Formats: sequence, structure tokens, C-alpha cells
Amino acid sequence: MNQSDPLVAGQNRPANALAAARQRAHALIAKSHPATVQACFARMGDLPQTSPLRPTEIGLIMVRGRVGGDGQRFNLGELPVARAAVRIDGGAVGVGYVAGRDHDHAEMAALADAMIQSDNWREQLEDVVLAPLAAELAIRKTTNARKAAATKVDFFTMVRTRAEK
Amino acid sequence: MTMTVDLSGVSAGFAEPVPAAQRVFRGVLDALSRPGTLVRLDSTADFGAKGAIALTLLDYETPVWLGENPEPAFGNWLRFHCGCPLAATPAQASFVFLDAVDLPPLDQFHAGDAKYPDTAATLVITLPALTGGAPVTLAGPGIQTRQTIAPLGLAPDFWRQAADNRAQFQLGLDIILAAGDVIVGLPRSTRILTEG
Repeated sequence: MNQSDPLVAGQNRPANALAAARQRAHALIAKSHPATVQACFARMGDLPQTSPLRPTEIGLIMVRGRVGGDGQRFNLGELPVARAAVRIDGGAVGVGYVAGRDHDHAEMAALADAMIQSDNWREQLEDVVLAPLAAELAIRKTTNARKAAATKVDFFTMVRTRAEK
Repeated sequence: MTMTVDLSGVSAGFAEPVPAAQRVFRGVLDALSRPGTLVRLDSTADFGAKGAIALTLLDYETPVWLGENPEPAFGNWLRFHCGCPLAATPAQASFVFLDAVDLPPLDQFHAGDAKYPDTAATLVITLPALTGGAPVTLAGPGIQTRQTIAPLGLAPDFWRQAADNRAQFQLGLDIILAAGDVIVGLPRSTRILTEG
């Protein structure tokens, strides 16, 4: 499966640079542990005033799957999702969707989404929250890749048999 | 696949959705069960009565018609808070929100069918005021003897169309007249006795 990774620059990039930045922030916060995100935001010091656009809520979404590129779609199962929408002072509106039932996690995602649209907050958010989360996720990814690589099986015998024939 | 909604102008909905929607639902129920009485909806939502009714009654299964050239602010607000689709034609809508001046002939809307009269559209018509217009007398279920209302701003032809709407009972549109946060119910069962 060739899945594009929004964390890698240049892949799946929308025409609009701001939309790309928002996608990256959404992905980073949704993939990070809520406590990690919370710790990053705690280092921000001042945060913008927020007012909720609608109350943070939990729902279920149906995750759909497909075997291969041409298989029939099927319902894999339901996933709890928390979503939030906030407006920060300055008028920017951010929305956040994260897997799970953690209201705070979704609100932090919405806050980051709003801040990234605000010229006053964008750089600070990148330095204090997004960059550390990206670094941590990169480490997690390489660690997982290394653990997976250690269990790799090479079917060299079959390959050689075919080659000698 | 997905249509983006511009959120920059979208204001907040109900702060506490469940109690607020229950209060508004009670108000709409009162208005439709006692046709012709003025009911004040207990809501602080934007867009007055139509906003309160939308937040209370609409969801992803209720296509909405807002006219040929809908005001984008209200359309975006509805899409965000209610998740309701915007109908492509008046006949596909199960809820209609229009100002009285934009109201097309009522027979353009879906009045239900013989098997499912409950699928008829509900119209929320926004007026400048619910008093001060030409008086109209109502009778029918929910009215003890007679009830007189005098909404301002309806087209002269409206009451004839409303009488035609009653004539096709048990099909028919349910109509809510709104001004500010006050509403008057005109369910399909109400008879129009004197025309404006």
C-alpha cells in the first residue's frame, strides 16, 4: 500500500501552502500522545483567548477498508473520534479531530489549527509545539522501523532456486 | 467529494445544545399545537427564531432550501452546526428558511405523499413583524373557537395559497411564521377563514 505521509514535505501537498501547514499540524497532534501535546503547549506560556464555536463532542466514525487497490469497500469498524472547533482572538477559527475520547486532545488540535492561521502565533507554535512533536514522531518512526526490520525474513532460498534454473 | 465551509464568519451555536434545544423544541411544539398564538422562543442563538429552529430540528437527514441566492452567512452557519445538506431544488427540501419577500408559490414545495404525509416540508418564513398586518382568522385543531393573527409582510396571495394547502389535507406544508425570536405556527390542519 502506497500511503502518502503528510509529515513528509512534498507529498500529497495541496495547492495552498496554508492548507498544507494545517494538514501537517493536524497530523502531528493527532498522532502524538495527548500528554506530550499538553506538555508542549504548557511551554508556550501565553496562549490566545479561545471561545468554543460548538461544544467539544465525541462521536463514532465508520472506518472503511479495501483489500488492495481494486477491492470492494467494506466497513472495518467504528472509531471513536473527538472533535472541537474554537475561535481565538483575532478571529481565526480552528477545528480539531482526533481519534479517541479525549476532549482536551481535540481542543489542543483545534487551538493549534487556529493558531497556525494567525500571523501572531504561527511561528511560536511551530517552534514550541510542532517542531518538537515532529522530532519525537520521527524518532518513534525510526524505532518502530528498526524493531520491524529485526524481524524481517529473507526468502533467499526461493530466490536462489529460481535464479539457478 | 467534500465541500469546504468558510468558517471565518461562523458564529457559535447553542452553548448548551441539549437544554437549549429542548426549550426551543417545546416552543415550536406549543406554536404548532396552538396555531395562531405568538410563542417566544427561549434562545440566544444567532439569526433569531430561524437559527434556533435550525439548531433544534435539523441534522444530516434534512435537506434545506434557502432560496435561489441564499445568504452565505446563514448557509455556512447551518452547514457547520447542523451538518444538513442544502437541497438543489425547493421540492427536495424537508425544511425551508425564507424571507417572506423571497417566497415562491407554495406548490413548489413537497407536501408529502399519500403513503408518507409526514415527509412534507416545514416552512419557516421570516417576516418584519407578527402584528400590524391585515388580520386573518384561523380555526381548526388546537384553536378553541377562533384565533386572529395579523402578520406583516406576507404577499396578498399568501392566504389563498395557505387555504389551498389546507384543502389537500392530510398532505400539506407546515408553516411557521417568525419575526425576531417570536413565532406563530400554521400547521397544515389549520383552516383560514377570512382572507387578508
